[in-house]
Amino acid sequence: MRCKSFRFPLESSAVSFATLLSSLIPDLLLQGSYGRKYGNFVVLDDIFERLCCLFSVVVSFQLADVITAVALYMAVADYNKQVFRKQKYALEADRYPLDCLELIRSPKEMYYIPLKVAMFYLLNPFTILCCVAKSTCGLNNAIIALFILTTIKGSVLLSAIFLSLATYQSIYPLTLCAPALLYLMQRQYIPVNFRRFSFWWFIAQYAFMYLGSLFVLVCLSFFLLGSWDYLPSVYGFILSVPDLTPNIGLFWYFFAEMFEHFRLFFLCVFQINVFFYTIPLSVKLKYVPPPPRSRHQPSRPHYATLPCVCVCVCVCVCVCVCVCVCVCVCVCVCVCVCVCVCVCVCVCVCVCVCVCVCVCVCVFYREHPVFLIFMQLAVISIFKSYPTVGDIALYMAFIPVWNHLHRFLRNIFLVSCVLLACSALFPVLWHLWIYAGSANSNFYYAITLLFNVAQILLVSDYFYAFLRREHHLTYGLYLKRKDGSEATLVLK
Amino acid sequence: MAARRRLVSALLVFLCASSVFSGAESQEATLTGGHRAAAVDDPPTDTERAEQAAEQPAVEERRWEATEVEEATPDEAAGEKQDTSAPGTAAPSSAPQPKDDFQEELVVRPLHSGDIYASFQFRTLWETDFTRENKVSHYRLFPKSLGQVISKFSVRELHISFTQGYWRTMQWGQPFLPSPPGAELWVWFQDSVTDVDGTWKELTNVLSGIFCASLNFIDSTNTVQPSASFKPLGIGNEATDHRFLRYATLPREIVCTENLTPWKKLLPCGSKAGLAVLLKSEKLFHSSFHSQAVHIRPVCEDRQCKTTSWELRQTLNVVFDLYTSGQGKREWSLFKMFSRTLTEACPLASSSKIYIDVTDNPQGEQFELSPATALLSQAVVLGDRRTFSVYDLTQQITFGSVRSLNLLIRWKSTEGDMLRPLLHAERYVAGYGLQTGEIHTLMYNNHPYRSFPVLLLDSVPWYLRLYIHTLTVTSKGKDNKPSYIHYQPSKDRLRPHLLEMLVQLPPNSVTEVTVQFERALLKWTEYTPDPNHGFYVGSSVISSLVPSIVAMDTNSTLKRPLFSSFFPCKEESSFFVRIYTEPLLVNLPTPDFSMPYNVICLTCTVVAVGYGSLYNLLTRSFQIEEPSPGLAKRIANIIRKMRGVPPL
Repeated sequence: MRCKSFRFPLESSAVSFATLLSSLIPDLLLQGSYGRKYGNFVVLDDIFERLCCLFSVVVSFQLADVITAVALYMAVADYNKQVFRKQKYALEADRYPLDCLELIRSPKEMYYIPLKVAMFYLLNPFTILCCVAKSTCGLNNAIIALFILTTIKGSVLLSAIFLSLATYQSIYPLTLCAPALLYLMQRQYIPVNFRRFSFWWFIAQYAFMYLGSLFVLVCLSFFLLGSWDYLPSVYGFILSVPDLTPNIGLFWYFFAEMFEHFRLFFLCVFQINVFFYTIPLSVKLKYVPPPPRSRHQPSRPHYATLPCVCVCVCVCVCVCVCVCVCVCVCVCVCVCVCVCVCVCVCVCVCVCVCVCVCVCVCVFYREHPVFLIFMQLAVISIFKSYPTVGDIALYMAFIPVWNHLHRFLRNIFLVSCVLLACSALFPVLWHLWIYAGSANSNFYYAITLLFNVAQILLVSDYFYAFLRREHHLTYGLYLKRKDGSEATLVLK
Repeated sequence: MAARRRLVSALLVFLCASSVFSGAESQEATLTGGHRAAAVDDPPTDTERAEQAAEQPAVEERRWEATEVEEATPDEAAGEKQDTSAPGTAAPSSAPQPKDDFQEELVVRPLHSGDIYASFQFRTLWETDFTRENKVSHYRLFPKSLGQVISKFSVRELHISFTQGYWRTMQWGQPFLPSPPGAELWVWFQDSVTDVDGTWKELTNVLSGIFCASLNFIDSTNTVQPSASFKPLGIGNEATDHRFLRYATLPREIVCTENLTPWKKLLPCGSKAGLAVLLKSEKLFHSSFHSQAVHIRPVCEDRQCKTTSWELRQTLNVVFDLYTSGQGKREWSLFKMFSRTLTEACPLASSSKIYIDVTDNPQGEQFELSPATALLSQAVVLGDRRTFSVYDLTQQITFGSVRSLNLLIRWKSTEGDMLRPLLHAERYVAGYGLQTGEIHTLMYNNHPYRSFPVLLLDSVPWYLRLYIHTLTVTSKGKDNKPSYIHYQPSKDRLRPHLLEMLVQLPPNSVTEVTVQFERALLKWTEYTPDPNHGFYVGSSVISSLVPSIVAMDTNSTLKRPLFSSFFPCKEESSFFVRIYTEPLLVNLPTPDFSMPYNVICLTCTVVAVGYGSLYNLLTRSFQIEEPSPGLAKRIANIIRKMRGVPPL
């Protein structure tokens, strides 16, 4: 490194490293596709950059990717075992309808899934680009993958530690604590019941471990830097989106074109998207006990209205908080100073509310936390403020795990075509805008919009397929109307 | 208080006695002019003494002392023609009444490119103790507006310049007072200031009003605190805690008449008399280079520094391209340059001189100067001994029989080459596209055998994100390791990058400093009205002690021509030079300004698609589709319902 030849009187040597990181982004897909990590050299006191500086001395980014792949492999292998065991118990208990046998997963088709997951991650062009760019996203992915692995292995302490590490890097993985709690409780056969002491004891344990390690990390960075200035410059940077460098997300152009007095409101609205799907998803991805097989026309489950209520409550809370914050800020004159703080407070409040409600609700419903992790990762990668292709690569690695859902996917062909086309058009339109000058920012922006629509469709398609399969597993594959004719399922 | 009232009344009587029909300002001028005409043979400060006598009839002994001093230096007045009032020596007098002194000076230097460099300097000295927190309410020559600013904001030094055009060092040599294109402001505050940033903000707003300039656009995003490049120029320049220094440039600032008028108003004579009558904006701004500046600093009155005083130095440098505008005739005169001639000195000035650089013209083979003057002066300026013809405007003989001075230079030959400046620099942006770029700064050391260190200061706005690890310094193809680097990284929308380096320039070499940067996309409201014109990046500042060919004059008394006495000189072997490079013009990627509504609508639509599809799946459940009854059946059912009959 050339920077070593000078004695820079920098407060942080990490700055030069961080700039090195950014400047190593090849000219091909550039910032556009990579986005920027979080601010690297804009956020000067980003302690994470220090960590990654240390980290990179020891390991390289390729190693981080390999760690991610191995962790995902082991996690999925373990998860598949559990899924198979559970399926076996269900079969033995004769819980599935008779015509659902073709939905039952066989060990033969599940055998290669872990390998496929690892390969999907390692050979994904997005991962390769991310690695070539030496984006910190690769390290982030490694930590999240380790978190998933430790959660699936049932190690409560390590799970909490890795979750706190991931939260410490960027706030968004905080939402993963809901599936982690669900999974760990399910695995430890802890009765999910308000009135049981063991339930509360477990939650307290996990919260203690999570918050404790987060506290240790935050304090370590404080001692490393000697001031709390890094908090606004790291988390404020993520939440208040000051850097509008084009990336693949929705934020940059929106906030570049935003009217200044609406900025805070839309900031809250956009940031909350990541967080408020957690509770309804946790509620919806539940395990529905199969009804007695004789009942072919099921009564509507009485708790089906709960997600609806949850979503409404969430939206109300969020909107209220947004409006409150906006009013507060309008009242106080120093808008600029308040933006950061208010967004932080707002999101924190929302998150707290979400987590509390989530925990309460999850008392009753607990199943499918791994699919919840997948959904949550996808939601994060769509709605985070500085998304990168590495985030997409992480949740796309899970797609082979859900290959039993493929028969229920509705528009996978269209979505994959759009995703492929957009991936190809990103660098082209970027080049036309930035280098050739024959296009303007709208061209590139249009592609980011389309790309995000495709991602949303992909995720919702998988969600639909998952729910539909669960429905079929409960009520049988070939449904009949009252009059005996073949019925079609609709969402109502 | 009583003394003051008496003084005012004396002045009033004095004014009323003079002509009634002319304006108040010209009254004084005509009167004192007439006074001087009556006593042509008197020493030049006769007018001032007369004035002092008129204004301060109570203080008798000072006049005596002043007279004594003048008479003690007649040989100097004949030879070097220096300011003869030298009021500083009057320090031991018992009365602590502050004294003012005003000098004006015009230096004209024919440049080898055929251009003419004219440099005006006006210096007002105000003997007062700058460290003491005394509220001064009486102002004589020193402009009250600036005096109040100094005392209110506890300013120790203030340097402000407005420049239109770029000084071409390679063609024109070094200027007497360098300045970057646009506006530049640097201020040292007193140690007593606690909230430096707040004071700075207020000060810039006040100065913005005084000079009718956009200095109010100076905020934290273009203000830096250089650690080494800008030392105080006045006394006390050892105490340099750069927390009290603020430096800012506005490279985009356009300088025009509205800046010149308030600047001229600060002069004691305004633009009514003296050299300032030449400052006509229609001519000054029809030039290749125009720079006006105000420097305020505390200086010593004498060598021992027993008394201190405030120095206000107003300078105006202008380069005329008379060669092309005069249809190739290399001939110029004061009238041709300024469309005015000189008829008198400023009556308030203790010294008023015109210097013409005749160094390259010892025998008159290059050009012909008329009217000729016998007075010659030598001064060491910028490491070079120059010879000047001197015209003393305070002497009536200078104006001849026509009562008007119109200096004329007629060139005889066009050859002759300029001494190459020992140090010069240039800067440019390399690279293409709107993503990254590279700033190249080239520093030339033209000294044949001496190497010397230079301090390079770069202040880059935050929206150009410097990759500081790509910083390279090479001279003669080899890595040149700076012995000192001070780098302060930028913060978005808060502060700019500051890069200061001490680089040793090898003899006869080019040193290249490169650093890469990335361009940021801004909010649409942060762009200038003409975003595709580009964004200006202020000049780099290169400060250096350049080895001098001749011994520099190190005694910093006031008895030197103004143009050679601005930068303090500590050693004989070198002289201080400050060089400004070109400002950069950098294009940034721009959003489409025409479609904020579209963007908001489209992005919100996408978010709504995400929300809607997830909401749909979350809140609905699968049910078997019942075929919807036909329209006729539904209508029939409604009717049956109204009839109270069970539906079909």
